[in-house]
Amino acid sequence: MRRPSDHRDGASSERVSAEIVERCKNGDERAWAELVKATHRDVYTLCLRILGDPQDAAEATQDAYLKAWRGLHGFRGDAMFQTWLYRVASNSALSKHRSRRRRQSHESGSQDDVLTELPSSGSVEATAGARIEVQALQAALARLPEQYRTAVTLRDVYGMSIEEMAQQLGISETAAKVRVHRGRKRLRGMLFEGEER
Amino acid sequence: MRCEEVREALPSYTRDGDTGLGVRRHLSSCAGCADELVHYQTLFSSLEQLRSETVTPPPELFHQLASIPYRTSRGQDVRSHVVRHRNRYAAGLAVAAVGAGAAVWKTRRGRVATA
Ligand SMILES: [Zn+2]
Repeated sequence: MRRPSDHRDGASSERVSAEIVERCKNGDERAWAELVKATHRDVYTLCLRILGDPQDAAEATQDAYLKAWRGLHGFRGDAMFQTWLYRVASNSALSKHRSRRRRQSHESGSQDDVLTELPSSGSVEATAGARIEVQALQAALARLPEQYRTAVTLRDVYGMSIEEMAQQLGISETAAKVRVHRGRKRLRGMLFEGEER
Repeated sequence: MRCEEVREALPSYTRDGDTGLGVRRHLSSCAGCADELVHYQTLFSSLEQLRSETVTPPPELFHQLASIPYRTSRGQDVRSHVVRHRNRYAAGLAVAAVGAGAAVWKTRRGRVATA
């Protein structure tokens, strides 16, 4: 099977050309609007997958683009722009997540909103023709304990490296690996064995 | 290798390419674990493709994002503008209050004078 590499090309967003990025660095506001148009849907979805709440996701997206605008000069052309932007966005979403947890530490509600907010049509095709319905996969992801969901989302949906995830989450690489591993096993159990845990 | 060991190793074997000769050998001779491998392959390619399943953001979000250069460079973000210039605004309010006080005092005085 084709193995997903770390930091794959953006599958759904249009490519952002080096020229657009350069124009943005020079303060070109029209180039910036083009860049936002090409990428904001993906960035918003990433934030929504981590946060599970549309309002929080919109705020995290705004924060991410504000950081991106201010930090553009620090972007060197050696990485894909989308990869860099995903990094900034997941950082914003995770930091929003931490502040929300501090705010709501006394509550124990899960973020099942993600179930109703993410698209439910179609199915994804796997190797050997096997399919997991998008809805079933997203529902299973949403039922994962939050730390496993975040780990699997960053690693297996967005292709973030373990090293970077550990850095962003403020945990050790071993802990990041454990979260990813447990999340994957639970997902497999839910999808192929009908297990809930 | 035993089945339990292989199944524990399968996720990272499948996704991250952590190849173990023992795992590969076991898979070639164990139908149960080979089935399990297919499950993980299905799971990972499905997760990967989830990335292209995007959600439509609220319509106002694009305009908010697109206007970031304008807002940050020209101080159009009213809230942050007020916060940045809090002292000046406070001083302005104080001057206005003093002015208003003086006006009231003057008016009263005028009334007293004409009474
Ligand atoms: Zn076996």
